[in-house]
Amino acid sequence: MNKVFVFFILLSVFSIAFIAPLESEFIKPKNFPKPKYNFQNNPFDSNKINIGRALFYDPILSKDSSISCASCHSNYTAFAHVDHALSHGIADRIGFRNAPGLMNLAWHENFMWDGAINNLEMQALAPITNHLEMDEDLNQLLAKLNRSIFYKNLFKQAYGDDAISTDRFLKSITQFLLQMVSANAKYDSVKNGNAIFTSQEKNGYHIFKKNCATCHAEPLFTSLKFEQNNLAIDPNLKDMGRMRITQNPQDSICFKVPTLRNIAFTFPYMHDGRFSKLQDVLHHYENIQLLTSNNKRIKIKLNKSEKVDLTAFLITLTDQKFLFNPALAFPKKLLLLNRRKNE
Amino acid sequence: MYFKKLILLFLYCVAIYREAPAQSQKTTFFLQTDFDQLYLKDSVKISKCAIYLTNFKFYNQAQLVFVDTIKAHLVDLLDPNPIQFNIAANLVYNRVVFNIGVDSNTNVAGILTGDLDPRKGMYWAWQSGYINFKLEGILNTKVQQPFQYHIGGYSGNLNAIQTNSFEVYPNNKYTLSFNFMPMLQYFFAQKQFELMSPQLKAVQLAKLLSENTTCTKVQNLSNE
Repeated sequence: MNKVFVFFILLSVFSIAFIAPLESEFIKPKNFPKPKYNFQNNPFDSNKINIGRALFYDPILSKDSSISCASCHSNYTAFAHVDHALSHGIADRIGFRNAPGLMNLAWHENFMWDGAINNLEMQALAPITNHLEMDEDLNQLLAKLNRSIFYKNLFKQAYGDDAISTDRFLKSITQFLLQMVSANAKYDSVKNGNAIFTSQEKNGYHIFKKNCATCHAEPLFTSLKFEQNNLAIDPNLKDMGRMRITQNPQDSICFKVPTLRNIAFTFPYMHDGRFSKLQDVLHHYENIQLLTSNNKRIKIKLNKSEKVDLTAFLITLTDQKFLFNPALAFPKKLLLLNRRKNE
Repeated sequence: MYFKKLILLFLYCVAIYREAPAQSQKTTFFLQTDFDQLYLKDSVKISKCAIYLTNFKFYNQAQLVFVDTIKAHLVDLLDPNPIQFNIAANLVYNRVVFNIGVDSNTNVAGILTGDLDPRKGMYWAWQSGYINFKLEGILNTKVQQPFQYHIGGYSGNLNAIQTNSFEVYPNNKYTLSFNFMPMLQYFFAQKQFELMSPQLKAVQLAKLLSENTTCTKVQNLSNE
Protein backbone atom coordinates (compact mmCIF):
# COMPACT_ATOMS: atom_id res chain seq x y z
CA MET A 1 0.00 0.00 0.00
CA ASN A 2 2.81 2.34 1.03
CA LYS A 3 4.74 1.52 -2.13
CA VAL A 4 1.73 2.39 -4.28
CA PHE A 5 1.33 5.67 -2.40
CA VAL A 6 5.02 6.59 -2.87
CA PHE A 7 4.78 5.66 -6.56
CA PHE A 8 1.84 8.03 -7.08
CA ILE A 9 3.55 10.82 -5.14
CA LEU A 10 6.64 10.46 -7.35
CA LEU A 11 4.50 10.28 -10.47
CA SER A 12 2.74 13.51 -9.48
CA VAL A 13 6.04 15.26 -8.79
CA PHE A 14 7.44 14.20 -12.17
CA SER A 15 4.25 15.19 -13.93
CA ILE A 16 4.34 18.65 -12.41
CA ALA A 17 8.03 19.01 -13.24
CA PHE A 18 7.59 18.05 -16.86
CA ILE A 19 4.13 19.28 -17.71
CA ALA A 20 3.82 22.55 -15.78
CA PRO A 21 5.70 25.33 -17.54
CA LEU A 22 8.78 26.64 -15.82
CA GLU A 23 8.43 30.15 -14.53
CA SER A 24 11.27 31.27 -16.73
CA GLU A 25 10.21 29.52 -19.92
CA PHE A 26 8.78 31.45 -22.84
CA ILE A 27 5.46 29.92 -23.75
CA LYS A 28 4.24 30.56 -27.27
CA PRO A 29 0.49 30.97 -27.36
CA LYS A 30 -1.17 28.22 -29.36
CA ASN A 31 -2.54 30.48 -32.09
CA PHE A 32 0.63 32.61 -32.47
CA PRO A 33 3.44 32.21 -35.02
CA LYS A 34 7.06 31.51 -34.06
CA PRO A 35 8.55 34.48 -32.21
CA LYS A 36 11.32 36.52 -33.85
CA TYR A 37 13.39 37.17 -30.74
CA ASN A 38 16.49 35.02 -30.37
CA PHE A 39 15.99 33.47 -26.93
CA GLN A 40 19.22 31.48 -27.20
CA ASN A 41 21.25 34.65 -26.69
CA ASN A 42 19.30 35.61 -23.61
CA PRO A 43 17.76 32.54 -21.95
CA PHE A 44 15.02 33.32 -19.47
CA ASP A 45 15.90 33.39 -15.81
CA SER A 46 13.49 34.45 -13.09
CA ASN A 47 16.18 36.52 -11.33
CA LYS A 48 16.95 38.41 -14.52
CA ILE A 49 13.25 38.99 -15.19
CA ASN A 50 13.04 40.34 -11.65
CA ILE A 51 15.82 42.84 -12.33
CA GLY A 52 14.16 43.91 -15.56
CA ARG A 53 10.90 44.44 -13.74
CA ALA A 54 12.55 46.52 -11.03
CA LEU A 55 14.37 48.63 -13.62
CA PHE A 56 11.20 49.14 -15.68
CA TYR A 57 9.43 50.70 -12.72
CA ASP A 58 12.41 52.53 -11.26
CA PRO A 59 12.88 56.26 -12.01
CA ILE A 60 16.62 55.76 -11.46
CA LEU A 61 16.79 55.31 -15.23
CA SER A 62 16.14 59.01 -15.84
CA LYS A 63 18.68 61.78 -15.39
CA ASP A 64 16.94 63.36 -12.40
CA SER A 65 15.42 60.08 -11.18
CA SER A 66 11.94 61.45 -11.74
CA ILE A 67 10.44 59.21 -14.40
CA SER A 68 10.55 55.50 -15.17
CA CYS A 69 9.61 53.44 -18.23
CA ALA A 70 6.26 52.89 -16.51
CA SER A 71 5.64 56.64 -16.45
CA CYS A 72 4.70 56.36 -20.12
CA HIS A 73 3.94 52.63 -20.22
CA SER A 74 1.40 51.83 -17.51
CA ASN A 75 0.54 48.16 -17.04
CA TYR A 76 -3.15 48.94 -16.44
CA THR A 77 -3.42 50.39 -19.93
CA ALA A 78 -1.56 47.68 -21.79
CA PHE A 79 1.66 49.63 -21.19
CA ALA A 80 0.44 52.64 -23.16
CA HIS A 81 0.07 56.21 -21.91
CA VAL A 82 -3.57 57.25 -21.86
CA ASP A 83 -3.07 60.61 -20.23
CA HIS A 84 -1.25 62.38 -23.03
CA ALA A 85 -1.06 62.48 -26.78
CA LEU A 86 2.74 62.65 -26.69
CA SER A 87 5.13 61.03 -24.24
CA HIS A 88 6.33 63.08 -21.31
CA GLY A 89 9.93 63.41 -20.23
CA ILE A 90 11.86 64.81 -17.31
CA ALA A 91 11.48 68.49 -16.40
CA ASP A 92 8.06 68.63 -18.11
CA ARG A 93 9.55 68.05 -21.52
CA ILE A 94 7.13 66.82 -24.16
CA GLY A 95 8.23 64.04 -26.48
CA PHE A 96 7.80 63.57 -30.18
CA ARG A 97 5.39 60.64 -30.34
CA ASN A 98 2.54 58.83 -28.65
CA ALA A 99 3.86 56.11 -26.30
CA PRO A 100 2.53 52.88 -27.81
CA GLY A 101 1.20 49.91 -25.87
CA LEU A 102 3.79 47.24 -25.17
CA MET A 103 2.84 43.63 -25.81
CA ASN A 104 3.90 40.60 -27.79
CA LEU A 105 7.28 42.21 -28.43
CA ALA A 106 8.96 38.85 -29.06
CA TRP A 107 7.25 38.82 -32.46
CA HIS A 108 8.61 42.18 -33.59
CA GLU A 109 11.82 42.74 -35.51
CA ASN A 110 11.88 46.50 -35.21
CA PHE A 111 10.44 48.93 -32.72
CA MET A 112 9.13 52.49 -32.43
CA TRP A 113 6.63 54.07 -34.81
CA ASP A 114 9.33 54.46 -37.44
CA GLY A 115 11.14 51.17 -36.81
CA ALA A 116 14.26 53.04 -35.68
CA ILE A 117 15.25 50.31 -33.26
CA ASN A 118 16.30 47.03 -34.79
CA ASN A 119 16.46 44.73 -31.79
CA LEU A 120 14.42 44.57 -28.58
CA GLU A 121 17.63 44.50 -26.55
CA MET A 122 18.53 47.98 -27.81
CA GLN A 123 15.07 49.50 -27.36
CA ALA A 124 15.52 50.82 -23.82
CA LEU A 125 18.52 52.92 -24.88
CA ALA A 126 16.31 55.18 -27.00
CA PRO A 127 14.04 56.63 -24.30
CA ILE A 128 16.81 56.55 -21.69
CA THR A 129 19.13 58.75 -23.74
CA ASN A 130 16.49 60.88 -25.50
CA HIS A 131 16.76 64.50 -24.35
CA LEU A 132 12.96 64.84 -24.36
CA GLU A 133 12.41 61.70 -22.36
CA MET A 134 14.78 60.37 -19.69
CA ASP A 135 17.83 62.32 -20.91
CA GLU A 136 20.31 60.07 -19.15
CA ASP A 137 23.81 59.16 -20.27
CA LEU A 138 24.42 55.42 -20.42
CA ASN A 139 27.72 55.65 -18.55
CA GLN A 140 26.15 57.79 -15.83
CA LEU A 141 23.27 55.39 -15.49
CA LEU A 142 25.52 52.35 -15.16
CA ALA A 143 27.59 54.22 -12.59
CA LYS A 144 24.40 54.96 -10.61
CA LEU A 145 23.34 51.33 -10.75
CA ASN A 146 26.81 50.15 -9.77
CA ARG A 147 26.61 52.36 -6.68
CA SER A 148 23.31 50.81 -5.65
CA ILE A 149 23.67 47.97 -3.15
CA PHE A 150 20.12 46.94 -3.97
CA TYR A 151 20.88 46.44 -7.67
CA LYS A 152 24.31 44.96 -7.04
CA ASN A 153 22.67 42.28 -4.91
CA LEU A 154 20.08 41.58 -7.57
CA PHE A 155 22.70 41.29 -10.31
CA LYS A 156 24.86 39.04 -8.15
CA GLN A 157 21.91 36.75 -7.60
CA ALA A 158 21.16 36.64 -11.32
CA TYR A 159 24.60 36.69 -12.94
CA GLY A 160 26.92 35.24 -10.30
CA ASP A 161 28.77 38.48 -9.61
CA ASP A 162 27.62 42.02 -8.95
CA ALA A 163 29.06 43.78 -12.01
CA ILE A 164 26.36 45.78 -13.81
CA SER A 165 27.39 46.06 -17.44
CA THR A 166 25.49 47.35 -20.46
CA ASP A 167 24.65 43.89 -21.73
CA ARG A 168 23.46 42.58 -18.36
CA PHE A 169 21.39 45.72 -17.85
CA LEU A 170 19.77 45.64 -21.30
CA LYS A 171 19.24 41.88 -21.35
CA SER A 172 17.48 42.02 -17.99
CA ILE A 173 15.10 44.72 -19.18
CA THR A 174 14.52 42.70 -22.35
CA GLN A 175 13.58 39.64 -20.32
CA PHE A 176 10.90 41.62 -18.55
CA LEU A 177 9.61 43.15 -21.80
CA LEU A 178 9.31 39.65 -23.24
CA GLN A 179 6.97 38.72 -20.39
CA MET A 180 4.37 41.11 -21.79
CA VAL A 181 2.45 38.56 -23.80
CA SER A 182 -1.18 39.30 -24.48
CA ALA A 183 -2.96 36.23 -25.82
CA ASN A 184 -5.87 35.69 -23.47
CA ALA A 185 -8.54 37.92 -24.92
CA LYS A 186 -12.02 36.65 -25.72
CA TYR A 187 -10.87 36.54 -29.37
CA ASP A 188 -8.20 33.96 -28.38
CA SER A 189 -10.71 31.90 -26.42
CA VAL A 190 -12.93 31.82 -29.50
CA LYS A 191 -9.99 30.82 -31.70
CA ASN A 192 -9.02 28.10 -29.26
CA GLY A 193 -12.58 26.78 -29.18
CA ASN A 194 -13.29 27.81 -25.61
CA ALA A 195 -15.82 30.57 -26.26
CA ILE A 196 -18.11 31.88 -28.97
CA PHE A 197 -18.68 35.37 -30.31
CA THR A 198 -22.05 37.04 -29.84
CA SER A 199 -23.82 37.72 -33.12
CA GLN A 200 -22.76 41.36 -32.88
CA GLU A 201 -19.11 40.43 -32.32
CA LYS A 202 -19.30 37.90 -35.13
CA ASN A 203 -20.60 40.51 -37.52
CA GLY A 204 -17.91 42.91 -36.29
CA TYR A 205 -15.26 40.24 -36.96
CA HIS A 206 -16.56 39.86 -40.48
CA ILE A 207 -16.35 43.64 -41.02
CA PHE A 208 -12.86 43.63 -39.53
CA LYS A 209 -11.64 40.87 -41.86
CA LYS A 210 -13.07 42.67 -44.86
CA ASN A 211 -11.71 46.12 -44.08
CA CYS A 212 -8.92 46.11 -41.52
CA ALA A 213 -7.16 42.74 -41.49
CA THR A 214 -4.66 43.50 -44.26
CA CYS A 215 -2.76 45.86 -41.99
CA HIS A 216 -3.97 44.59 -38.64
CA ALA A 217 -3.26 40.97 -39.44
CA GLU A 218 -4.27 38.23 -37.03
CA PRO A 219 -3.27 36.94 -34.57
CA LEU A 220 -0.97 39.81 -33.58
CA PHE A 221 -3.39 42.32 -35.12
CA THR A 222 -0.52 44.06 -36.86
CA SER A 223 1.25 43.18 -40.08
CA LEU A 224 4.39 44.61 -38.40
CA LYS A 225 4.83 46.67 -41.57
CA PHE A 226 4.97 50.41 -42.15
CA GLU A 227 1.97 51.98 -43.80
CA GLN A 228 0.82 55.38 -44.92
CA ASN A 229 -2.66 56.07 -43.63
CA ASN A 230 -3.23 59.55 -45.02
CA LEU A 231 -2.91 61.42 -41.77
CA ALA A 232 -2.09 65.06 -42.38
CA ILE A 233 1.38 66.02 -41.20
CA ASP A 234 1.29 67.90 -37.91
CA PRO A 235 2.96 71.26 -38.72
CA ASN A 236 4.63 71.38 -35.32
CA LEU A 237 5.98 67.86 -35.22
CA LYS A 238 6.80 67.55 -38.95
CA ASP A 239 7.08 63.82 -38.39
CA MET A 240 8.03 62.04 -41.60
CA GLY A 241 7.77 58.59 -40.03
CA ARG A 242 9.76 55.75 -41.54
CA MET A 243 11.44 58.07 -44.05
CA ARG A 244 13.35 59.63 -41.15
CA ILE A 245 15.17 56.29 -40.88
CA THR A 246 15.41 55.01 -44.43
CA GLN A 247 15.65 58.40 -46.22
CA ASN A 248 13.49 56.77 -48.85
CA PRO A 249 10.70 59.08 -50.14
CA GLN A 250 8.46 56.05 -50.56
CA ASP A 251 8.50 55.71 -46.78
CA SER A 252 7.30 59.26 -46.27
CA ILE A 253 4.74 59.48 -43.44
CA CYS A 254 4.67 55.70 -43.16
CA PHE A 255 4.32 54.46 -39.59
CA LYS A 256 4.43 51.03 -38.07
CA VAL A 257 0.99 49.45 -37.91
CA PRO A 258 0.07 49.27 -34.22
CA THR A 259 -1.56 46.21 -32.74
CA LEU A 260 -5.27 46.35 -32.07
CA ARG A 261 -4.96 44.05 -29.09
CA ASN A 262 -6.23 45.82 -25.96
CA ILE A 263 -7.23 48.76 -28.13
CA ALA A 264 -9.98 49.78 -25.71
CA PHE A 265 -7.19 50.59 -23.25
CA THR A 266 -4.50 52.13 -25.44
CA PHE A 267 -6.02 55.49 -26.38
CA PRO A 268 -5.12 58.04 -27.63
CA TYR A 269 -4.54 56.62 -31.09
CA MET A 270 -2.10 57.14 -33.96
CA HIS A 271 1.63 57.99 -33.80
CA ASP A 272 0.92 61.46 -32.44
CA GLY A 273 -2.07 60.53 -30.31
CA ARG A 274 -4.33 62.85 -32.29
CA PHE A 275 -7.47 60.75 -31.85
CA SER A 276 -8.70 60.18 -28.35
CA LYS A 277 -11.66 57.98 -29.27
CA LEU A 278 -12.00 54.86 -31.34
CA GLN A 279 -14.93 56.49 -33.14
CA ASP A 280 -12.54 59.25 -34.33
CA VAL A 281 -10.25 56.59 -35.80
CA LEU A 282 -13.12 54.91 -37.64
CA HIS A 283 -14.27 58.28 -38.90
CA HIS A 284 -10.76 58.98 -40.23
CA TYR A 285 -10.68 55.72 -42.16
CA GLU A 286 -14.09 56.39 -43.66
CA ASN A 287 -12.77 59.57 -45.19
CA ILE A 288 -9.65 58.26 -46.88
CA GLN A 289 -8.72 55.72 -49.49
CA LEU A 290 -6.66 52.77 -48.30
CA LEU A 291 -4.31 50.71 -50.39
CA THR A 292 -5.01 46.99 -50.06
CA SER A 293 -2.48 44.17 -50.26
CA ASN A 294 -3.31 43.67 -53.95
CA ASN A 295 -2.72 47.37 -54.62
CA LYS A 296 -6.36 48.30 -54.92
CA ARG A 297 -7.56 51.55 -53.44
CA ILE A 298 -10.58 51.06 -51.27
CA LYS A 299 -12.73 53.30 -49.18
CA ILE A 300 -14.17 51.93 -45.99
CA LYS A 301 -17.87 52.57 -45.80
CA LEU A 302 -19.64 51.58 -42.60
CA ASN A 303 -23.11 52.46 -41.36
CA LYS A 304 -23.77 53.25 -37.74
CA SER A 305 -24.74 49.73 -36.82
CA GLU A 306 -21.67 48.26 -38.54
CA LYS A 307 -19.45 50.62 -36.58
CA VAL A 308 -21.03 49.43 -33.36
CA ASP A 309 -20.50 45.80 -34.38
CA LEU A 310 -16.88 46.46 -35.33
CA THR A 311 -16.29 48.15 -31.99
CA ALA A 312 -17.88 45.16 -30.23
CA PHE A 313 -15.41 42.90 -31.99
CA LEU A 314 -12.47 45.15 -31.14
CA ILE A 315 -13.44 44.93 -27.49
CA THR A 316 -13.03 41.15 -27.70
CA LEU A 317 -9.30 41.90 -28.09
CA THR A 318 -9.17 43.10 -24.48
CA ASP A 319 -7.05 40.77 -22.38
CA GLN A 320 -7.93 41.23 -18.73
CA LYS A 321 -5.38 38.65 -17.59
CA PHE A 322 -2.65 40.66 -19.28
CA LEU A 323 -3.88 44.04 -18.10
CA PHE A 324 -4.11 42.98 -14.49
CA ASN A 325 -1.31 40.43 -14.37
CA PRO A 326 0.35 40.91 -10.96
CA ALA A 327 3.65 39.58 -12.35
CA LEU A 328 3.82 42.59 -14.68
CA ALA A 329 2.73 45.17 -12.12
CA PHE A 330 4.83 47.50 -9.99
CA PRO A 331 7.02 45.24 -7.82
CA LYS A 332 6.01 46.79 -4.51
CA LYS A 333 7.80 44.29 -2.30
CA LEU A 334 11.00 44.38 -4.30
CA LEU A 335 11.25 48.10 -4.97
CA LEU A 336 9.77 49.53 -1.81
CA LEU A 337 10.51 47.07 0.98
CA ASN A 338 13.69 45.26 -0.12
CA ARG A 339 15.27 48.37 -1.51
CA ARG A 340 14.69 50.33 1.67
CA LYS A 341 16.35 47.53 3.60
CA ASN A 342 19.36 47.59 1.27
CA GLU A 343 20.03 51.28 0.79
CA MET B 1 45.04 -2.92 -17.15
CA TYR B 2 44.70 -1.96 -20.79
CA PHE B 3 42.36 0.83 -19.80
CA LYS B 4 44.89 2.22 -17.26
CA LYS B 5 47.60 2.29 -19.92
CA LEU B 6 45.29 4.12 -22.22
CA ILE B 7 44.63 6.76 -19.58
CA LEU B 8 48.36 7.17 -18.87
CA LEU B 9 49.04 7.53 -22.59
CA PHE B 10 46.33 10.14 -22.84
CA LEU B 11 47.71 12.12 -19.88
CA TYR B 12 51.21 11.93 -21.39
CA CYS B 13 49.94 13.30 -24.68
CA VAL B 14 48.15 16.14 -22.88
CA ALA B 15 51.36 16.95 -20.96
CA ILE B 16 53.42 17.03 -24.18
CA TYR B 17 50.81 19.19 -25.86
CA ARG B 18 50.83 21.64 -22.97
CA GLU B 19 54.61 21.82 -22.88
CA ALA B 20 54.97 22.41 -26.60
CA PRO B 21 56.04 26.02 -27.10
CA ALA B 22 53.38 28.05 -28.82
CA GLN B 23 55.08 29.26 -31.95
CA SER B 24 53.55 32.20 -33.65
CA GLN B 25 54.42 35.03 -35.90
CA LYS B 26 53.34 38.56 -35.36
CA THR B 27 51.81 40.98 -37.73
CA THR B 28 51.34 44.37 -36.22
CA PHE B 29 49.41 47.33 -37.46
CA PHE B 30 50.23 50.74 -36.12
CA LEU B 31 47.42 53.10 -36.74
CA GLN B 32 47.58 56.78 -37.39
CA THR B 33 45.62 59.62 -38.83
CA ASP B 34 47.17 61.40 -41.71
CA PHE B 35 46.25 65.07 -41.70
CA ASP B 36 47.82 67.63 -43.92
CA GLN B 37 49.47 69.75 -41.28
CA LEU B 38 50.27 72.49 -43.77
CA TYR B 39 46.61 72.82 -44.54
CA LEU B 40 45.46 72.56 -40.97
CA LYS B 41 48.12 74.79 -39.38
CA ASP B 42 46.38 76.17 -36.36
CA SER B 43 43.09 76.51 -38.12
CA VAL B 44 41.67 73.13 -37.15
CA LYS B 45 41.79 71.43 -33.80
CA ILE B 46 40.70 67.80 -33.81
CA SER B 47 39.24 66.71 -30.49
CA LYS B 48 37.88 63.29 -31.38
CA CYS B 49 38.84 60.86 -34.08
CA ALA B 50 37.68 57.30 -33.56
CA ILE B 51 37.13 54.46 -35.98
CA TYR B 52 35.88 50.89 -36.03
CA LEU B 53 38.14 48.40 -37.82
CA THR B 54 36.42 45.05 -38.05
CA ASN B 55 36.54 41.52 -39.42
CA PHE B 56 40.28 41.26 -40.11
CA LYS B 57 40.97 38.32 -42.39
CA PHE B 58 44.28 37.13 -43.82
CA TYR B 59 44.54 35.45 -47.18
CA ASN B 60 47.16 33.52 -49.05
CA GLN B 61 46.22 34.36 -52.62
CA ALA B 62 42.48 33.64 -52.61
CA GLN B 63 42.58 31.22 -49.70
CA LEU B 64 41.42 32.41 -46.30
CA VAL B 65 44.04 31.35 -43.73
CA PHE B 66 43.35 33.39 -40.61
CA VAL B 67 40.33 35.16 -39.12
CA ASP B 68 40.70 37.57 -36.22
CA THR B 69 38.70 36.29 -33.24
CA ILE B 70 38.05 39.84 -32.11
CA LYS B 71 35.20 41.05 -34.25
CA ALA B 72 35.72 44.77 -33.83
CA HIS B 73 38.58 47.04 -32.83
CA LEU B 74 37.55 50.51 -31.79
CA VAL B 75 40.59 52.72 -32.34
CA ASP B 76 41.06 56.16 -30.88
CA LEU B 77 43.15 57.63 -33.66
CA LEU B 78 44.37 60.50 -31.48
CA ASP B 79 45.90 57.97 -29.08
CA PRO B 80 46.03 54.70 -30.97
CA ASN B 81 47.17 51.36 -29.65
CA PRO B 82 48.63 49.04 -32.25
CA ILE B 83 46.56 46.06 -33.35
CA GLN B 84 48.61 42.90 -33.21
CA PHE B 85 47.77 39.47 -34.58
CA ASN B 86 49.45 36.35 -33.29
CA ILE B 87 49.27 34.00 -36.19
CA ALA B 88 50.63 30.42 -36.24
CA ALA B 89 54.20 30.27 -37.57
CA ASN B 90 53.43 27.91 -40.39
CA LEU B 91 50.81 30.14 -41.96
CA VAL B 92 51.62 31.86 -45.20
CA TYR B 93 49.67 34.93 -46.20
CA ASN B 94 50.05 37.87 -48.48
CA ARG B 95 46.90 39.92 -48.01
CA VAL B 96 44.81 41.39 -45.23
CA VAL B 97 41.18 42.36 -45.70
CA PHE B 98 39.22 44.34 -43.14
CA ASN B 99 36.27 46.68 -42.86
CA ILE B 100 36.10 50.29 -41.88
CA GLY B 101 32.86 50.15 -39.92
CA VAL B 102 30.55 47.57 -38.47
CA ASP B 103 28.72 45.10 -40.70
CA SER B 104 24.95 44.73 -40.99
CA ASN B 105 24.71 41.43 -39.12
CA THR B 106 26.54 42.87 -36.14
CA ASN B 107 24.35 45.97 -36.24
CA VAL B 108 21.18 43.93 -35.81
CA ALA B 109 22.59 41.39 -33.36
CA GLY B 110 21.34 43.09 -30.20
CA ILE B 111 23.53 44.03 -27.30
CA LEU B 112 27.23 43.20 -27.69
CA THR B 113 30.23 43.57 -25.44
CA GLY B 114 33.87 44.65 -25.70
CA ASP B 115 34.52 47.42 -28.18
CA LEU B 116 30.93 47.05 -29.41
CA ASP B 117 29.48 48.03 -26.03
CA PRO B 118 27.23 51.08 -26.65
CA ARG B 119 28.80 52.83 -23.69
CA LYS B 120 31.93 53.31 -25.81
CA GLY B 121 30.06 56.21 -27.39
CA MET B 122 29.93 54.87 -30.94
CA TYR B 123 26.31 53.78 -31.00
CA TRP B 124 23.26 55.74 -32.10
CA ALA B 125 20.63 55.10 -29.44
CA TRP B 126 17.81 57.01 -31.19
CA GLN B 127 18.27 54.85 -34.25
CA SER B 128 19.94 51.48 -33.83
CA GLY B 129 23.35 51.27 -35.39
CA TYR B 130 27.03 51.82 -34.88
CA ILE B 131 28.88 54.94 -35.90
CA ASN B 132 31.64 53.64 -38.16
CA PHE B 133 33.87 56.62 -37.52
CA LYS B 134 33.69 59.93 -35.76
CA LEU B 135 35.56 63.14 -36.38
CA GLU B 136 34.98 66.13 -34.13
CA GLY B 137 36.80 69.36 -33.52
CA ILE B 138 36.87 73.12 -33.94
CA LEU B 139 37.57 75.15 -37.02
CA ASN B 140 39.22 78.43 -36.09
CA THR B 141 38.09 81.05 -38.53
CA LYS B 142 36.68 84.42 -37.51
CA VAL B 143 34.57 82.51 -35.04
CA GLN B 144 35.29 79.19 -33.46
CA GLN B 145 33.17 76.80 -35.46
CA PRO B 146 32.67 73.39 -33.90
CA PHE B 147 32.22 70.49 -36.28
CA GLN B 148 31.15 66.89 -35.78
CA TYR B 149 30.85 64.16 -38.33
CA HIS B 150 29.46 60.81 -37.29
CA ILE B 151 29.56 58.46 -40.24
CA GLY B 152 27.62 55.22 -40.21
CA GLY B 153 24.59 53.34 -41.51
CA TYR B 154 24.19 49.65 -42.18
CA SER B 155 21.01 49.12 -44.12
CA GLY B 156 20.30 49.08 -47.86
CA ASN B 157 21.78 51.95 -49.82
CA LEU B 158 22.71 53.72 -46.57
CA ASN B 159 25.22 51.01 -45.70
CA ALA B 160 28.44 52.95 -45.13
CA ILE B 161 30.76 50.04 -44.37
CA GLN B 162 33.90 49.96 -46.52
CA THR B 163 36.19 47.03 -47.21
CA ASN B 164 39.91 47.57 -47.59
CA SER B 165 42.51 45.12 -48.76
CA PHE B 166 46.31 45.43 -48.56
CA GLU B 167 49.32 43.35 -49.38
CA VAL B 168 50.97 42.20 -46.15
CA TYR B 169 53.43 39.44 -45.21
CA PRO B 170 54.20 37.55 -41.99
CA ASN B 171 56.48 39.04 -39.35
CA ASN B 172 56.18 42.65 -40.39
CA LYS B 173 54.97 45.86 -38.87
CA TYR B 174 52.74 48.10 -40.92
CA THR B 175 51.23 51.51 -40.52
CA LEU B 176 47.62 51.98 -41.46
CA SER B 177 47.05 55.64 -42.24
CA PHE B 178 43.64 57.21 -42.45
CA ASN B 179 43.65 60.46 -44.32
CA PHE B 180 40.66 62.53 -43.29
CA MET B 181 41.77 65.60 -45.20
CA PRO B 182 39.66 65.06 -48.33
CA MET B 183 36.62 64.61 -46.12
CA LEU B 184 37.33 67.75 -44.11
CA GLN B 185 38.02 69.75 -47.24
CA TYR B 186 34.71 68.60 -48.69
CA PHE B 187 32.75 69.58 -45.61
CA PHE B 188 34.47 72.91 -45.04
CA ALA B 189 34.01 73.90 -48.67
CA GLN B 190 30.28 73.18 -48.29
CA LYS B 191 30.19 74.95 -44.92
CA GLN B 192 28.65 71.82 -43.49
CA PHE B 193 29.69 71.35 -39.92
CA GLU B 194 27.47 68.50 -38.85
CA LEU B 195 26.60 65.12 -40.27
CA MET B 196 25.08 62.96 -37.61
CA SER B 197 22.92 60.26 -39.16
CA PRO B 198 22.98 57.58 -41.84
CA GLN B 199 22.47 59.10 -45.27
CA LEU B 200 23.78 58.86 -48.80
CA LYS B 201 26.35 61.58 -48.21
CA ALA B 202 27.76 59.55 -45.33
CA VAL B 203 28.22 56.60 -47.66
CA GLN B 204 30.11 58.79 -50.15
CA LEU B 205 32.37 60.15 -47.43
CA ALA B 206 33.04 56.71 -46.02
CA LYS B 207 34.12 55.70 -49.49
CA LEU B 208 36.36 58.74 -49.66
CA LEU B 209 38.07 57.77 -46.41
CA SER B 210 38.47 54.20 -47.59
CA GLU B 211 40.12 55.40 -50.80
CA ASN B 212 42.49 57.53 -48.74
CA THR B 213 43.58 54.74 -46.43
CA THR B 214 47.04 53.34 -46.95
CA CYS B 215 49.12 50.55 -45.50
CA THR B 216 52.91 50.84 -45.45
CA LYS B 217 55.53 48.49 -44.13
CA VAL B 218 57.63 50.03 -41.37
CA GLN B 219 59.66 47.16 -39.97
CA ASN B 220 60.54 43.53 -40.48
CA LEU B 221 60.16 41.53 -37.27
CA SER B 222 61.85 38.29 -38.33
CA ASN B 223 65.15 39.28 -36.72
CA GLU B 224 63.63 40.41 -33.42
